[in-house]
Amino acid sequence: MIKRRNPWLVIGIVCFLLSLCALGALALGSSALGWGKENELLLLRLPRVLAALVAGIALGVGGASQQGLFRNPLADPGLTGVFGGALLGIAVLLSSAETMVWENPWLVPSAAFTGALLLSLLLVILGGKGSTARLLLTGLGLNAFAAAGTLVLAARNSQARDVLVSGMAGDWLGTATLPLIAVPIILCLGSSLFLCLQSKNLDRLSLGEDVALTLGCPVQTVRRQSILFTALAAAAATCLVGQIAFIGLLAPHLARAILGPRHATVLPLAGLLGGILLLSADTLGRTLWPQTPLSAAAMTALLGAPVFVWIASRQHE
Amino acid sequence: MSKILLQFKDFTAQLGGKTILEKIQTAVSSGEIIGVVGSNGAGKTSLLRSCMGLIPASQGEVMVTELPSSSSLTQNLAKLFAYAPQNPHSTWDFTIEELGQLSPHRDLFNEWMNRFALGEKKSYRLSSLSGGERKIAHLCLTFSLHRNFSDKCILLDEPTAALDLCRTELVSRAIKEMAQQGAGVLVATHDLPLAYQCHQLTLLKAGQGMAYGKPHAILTPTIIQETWGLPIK
Repeated sequence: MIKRRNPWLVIGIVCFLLSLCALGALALGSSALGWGKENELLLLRLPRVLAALVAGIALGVGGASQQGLFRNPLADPGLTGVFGGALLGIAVLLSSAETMVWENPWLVPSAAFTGALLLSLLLVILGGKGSTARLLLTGLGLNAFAAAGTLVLAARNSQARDVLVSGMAGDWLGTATLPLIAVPIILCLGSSLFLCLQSKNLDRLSLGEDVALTLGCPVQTVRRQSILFTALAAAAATCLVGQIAFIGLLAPHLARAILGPRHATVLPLAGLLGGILLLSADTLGRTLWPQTPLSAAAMTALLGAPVFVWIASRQHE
Repeated sequence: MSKILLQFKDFTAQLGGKTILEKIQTAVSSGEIIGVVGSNGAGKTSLLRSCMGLIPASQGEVMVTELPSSSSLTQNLAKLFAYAPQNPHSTWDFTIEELGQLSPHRDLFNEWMNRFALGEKKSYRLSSLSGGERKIAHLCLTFSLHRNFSDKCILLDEPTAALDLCRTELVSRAIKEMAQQGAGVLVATHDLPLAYQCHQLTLLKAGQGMAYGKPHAILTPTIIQETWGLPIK
């Protein structure tokens, strides 16, 4: 017999922690503590903090949603190649039209979305039906292919090389400026919100498609919309951070361990935890070693991997 | 006069180039319990799933007479059907209570839980239940899908497999009640007492309808021996 924690209380506490992290991230930096004269340090750090926070939310919700959709606790846009697809989309755009790319704020997100969606569709067609192993193996294959494609494009285009390589390392947060991140932030929040509204249907889907249909879940519509909006969330998050695999896996597992598996609580909680994880990882990465800052992706894995291993060993005894 | 809810007309279906159901002729009327019997792999589950349009016909058809013309069966499944698979499973480890929250009528779910003597285990995780208890929890979800079962099609795939004697009896009573409310029940089963309670039986062998009729006419030593290959003295 188990007693679930009160979801409102937990989400309230996590929201509080999130705001603490955000305040800390705004106040901490390599140059000085605090917000500086006339808030110039605040304004300097704000885009980066916003980008990390919102991307973390999208990664958490996107991961939880993909796990719900594929009924697979190991599905994660990082492992299944959706991030790889988003980055490949950006790589194709950069190597074909380097100079004009940054003038239109919708261009990079659109390219990322196209890549992520194509990869998602391939994943569904090639590996969507069948075992866990089939889905993940297909995803790993697609991910490797997308990464190779990005590397090929980076090698052939000297101008795009640095941008793409740091994107693959999940190290784009440092380049955040408000005009650059505005569109991805809107897309991240919009798609996360939409995915959260699917929670009831993802619960029903977990009983199998045939049972879900008799419970009133419009299976095909849910699948289509979830794939579309997960790709959108992953693509928009990629535009902000670059490729960052671990949060989409860790945040939902953490959320399930805290509040149980219902998607009505897993999706929002995974989003908030994802925000905390990415923001604190990025803040630590840039303040612990100011001379040689560590990328958000590296720091996330450094902090998150032990937690993940602990949850996994506790849950699947 | 009861009305026909489901009618198979020469229904033939293939899966991966293999014929899994061949020229099935059977009908389910409201108030009626039709049993589907046959050895493992005879096509019982496929027959049940084909009613919901989940297995496309290569020839013939299944008519769902309550389906409004020109509307899609998939979109109306929740309105017309209740389905309990043979091995119900859930990807996530819900508690029984959380499983009940997926039902459109939570109060009914709780009533069924009490009837099946599982009410006290509401806050247990599904993974911590025994196989039979888990099966019952999922059956409660199926049974709570409609407030009134009149003219609904209920598809039950081995509902009493893995259940103890008492719960087997409770399930077969529940099935009878729902039929009395006007449901048409199609139940695949290996459970002979349950099969004897059906109004009609359809006997499947290798995807073909071998015999159709009252239980005592179908479950004869000769037919059992021919179908299951087991000599009965």
